[in-house]
Amino acid sequence: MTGRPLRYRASQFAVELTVAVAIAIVLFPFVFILATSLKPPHQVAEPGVWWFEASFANWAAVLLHSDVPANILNSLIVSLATVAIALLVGCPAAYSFSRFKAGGPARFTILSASMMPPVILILPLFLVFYHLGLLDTLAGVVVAHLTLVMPVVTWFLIGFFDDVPRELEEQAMIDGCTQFQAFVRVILPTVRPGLAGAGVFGFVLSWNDLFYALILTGGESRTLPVAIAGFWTFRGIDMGKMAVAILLAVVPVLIVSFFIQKHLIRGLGGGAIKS
Amino acid sequence: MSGARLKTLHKSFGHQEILKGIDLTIEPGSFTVLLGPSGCGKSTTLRILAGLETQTSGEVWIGHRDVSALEPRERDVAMVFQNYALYPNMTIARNMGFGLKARKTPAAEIRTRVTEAARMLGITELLGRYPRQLSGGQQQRVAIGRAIVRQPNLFLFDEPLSNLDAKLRVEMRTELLRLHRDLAATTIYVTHDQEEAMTMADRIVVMNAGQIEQIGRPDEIYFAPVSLMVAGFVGSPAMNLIDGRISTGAVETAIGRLEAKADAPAGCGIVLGIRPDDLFFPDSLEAVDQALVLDCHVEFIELLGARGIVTLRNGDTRLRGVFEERYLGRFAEGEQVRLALSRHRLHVFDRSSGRRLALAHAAPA
Ligand SMILES: Nc1ncnc2c1ncn2[C@@H]1O[C@H](COP(=O)(O)OP(=O)(O)OP(=O)(O)O)[C@@H](O)[C@H]1O
Ligand SMILES: [Mg+2]
Repeated sequence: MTGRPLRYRASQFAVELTVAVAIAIVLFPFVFILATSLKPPHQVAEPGVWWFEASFANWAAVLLHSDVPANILNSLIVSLATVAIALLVGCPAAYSFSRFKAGGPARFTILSASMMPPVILILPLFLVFYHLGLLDTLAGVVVAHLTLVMPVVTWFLIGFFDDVPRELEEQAMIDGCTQFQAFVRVILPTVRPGLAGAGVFGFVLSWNDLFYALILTGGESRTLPVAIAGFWTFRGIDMGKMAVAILLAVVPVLIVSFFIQKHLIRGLGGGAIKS
Repeated sequence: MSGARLKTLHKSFGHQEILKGIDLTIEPGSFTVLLGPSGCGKSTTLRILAGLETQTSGEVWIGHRDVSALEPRERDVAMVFQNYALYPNMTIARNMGFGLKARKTPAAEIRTRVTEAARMLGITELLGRYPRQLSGGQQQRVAIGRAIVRQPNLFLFDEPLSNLDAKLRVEMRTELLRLHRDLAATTIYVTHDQEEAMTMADRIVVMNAGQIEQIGRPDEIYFAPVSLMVAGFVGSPAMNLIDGRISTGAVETAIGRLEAKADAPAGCGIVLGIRPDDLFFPDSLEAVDQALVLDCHVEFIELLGARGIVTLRNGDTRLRGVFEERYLGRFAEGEQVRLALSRHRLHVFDRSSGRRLALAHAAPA
């Protein structure tokens, strides 16, 4: 027996241990919240308790006897609409920035709206929406989210368009396309990974937003994060129901990320990897 | 099959004038090569022909149409780029058929033409694959196939072979020439590789700094370069260039006095050009043809298979000569050797303008 395989196995074990610890740290909050959501009402407020009789009382209460399903629907509508508009506008914008050097050095300023603390934007938005009658509407939330999501999506996509060789669209134009056809038929399919990445990124930003939604919506149009915050009332925190709602909020993000994780990773790299 | 014409074409990028008046007529069915050093405006010229850049002034004609203001898609040209520019999201078959589809050709005809082009290029078995699954050489064939399928008025190539390895490059050269012969398609081909230009072209257009320096058949370009720039750029190893000046009835140079009259005033500075192929042994050159006899010191010999490059020194002047194998035995490094120049193979250029000067040899004594 040489020492090498043993040492190899030892280092292998060390790697696995590190990964296991990392996963445990990441997963702990989820496990904790899952446990909380299943605790019977009288034990919910005791975080130290790990042994209890699982109860679906919280789940039933949230899913069947609360506004949370409606809030989820609101959140979905807001996030999907935000992402759709952001992509629809951000994509041609990013293409122009990349291809025609539109805006020149000013292209860095497109991020300014999303760099600003939301507090600065919220007051003007609130006043404008008040006059337009957009307060407590989903459309209002979408507009507010666009100030954040659109610049990020656009910025995200510029890198992808930068990576598309210019000859590709020139070839398409020689082959008989107009510039617009070349964009739609050749360039867009080429940056599909970027579109997917930008889409998920934008979706998560909008889906998780509490600040704008909390201030701009009140009744009917409450989104899920607002509803979650709503479990924190002056009568105390309804931990069990809150835990259920939190899980419901996280699950879609996880599912979407799982299916496009490959694209997401490439996207976060700013399209650095050429195909 | 149509020809093309460029009329006093100018192009500036910002304040920089890149093309300074290009006049060029391309005969239908010809293979024209644009040759020149990097940055001289070859690609820009080609891209203006394709409609990818707009000329600052001047006209572009393809066939009998003034296409100066037309979009690329309206010009009916096909182009092969140096990086091939295959559509990454389409199979090879769809890549090749894309141009026809964009022009609303019936699907059945697209299929026939793609199949036929693929057969000509030997890429039939690749049709179902994606570009990323192909080697560079295969991608290159697909790019050419995509151009052929279109049956365009003009084929434009911008350094299509420069990304291939040396062996493949020579193979593809032959293949492109074969295709050109079979299709008799008007072709304009940009390269900075003079060997490619020499072997492929019917006509070479030598460009320099945004201007056309010389237009001619490959042999004209090689044997009668009109300027110092063409002389120095074409030919490998490069032409030997030796400074000199005109005196009455003769040309004085560092390697000796030529009894010949150049059409320039006495005192005018000149450059004498001698191709490495044009150094001879006196016994292989008729006495009447001998313009000058040179005693040279052999510095070193580089063997290149059937030929060799010999570096020689005459006084302070270094000369390079190319000799066939059967002559190489006569050289020994460090020894003296006697060589001669042929009066038919001398090039004299005005040093200040770079223009070629005609040379009239004195009657042999
Ligand atoms: N879009 C552009 N903007 C500004 N300058 C440009 C542009 N395109 C080309 N140029 C300049 O024009 C000059 C000629 O470029 P061109 O590409 O035609 O050269 P080329 O002869 O094809 O050279 P190479 O052999 O290196 O390809 C270069 O100096 C280049 O920097
Ligand atoms: Mg070029």
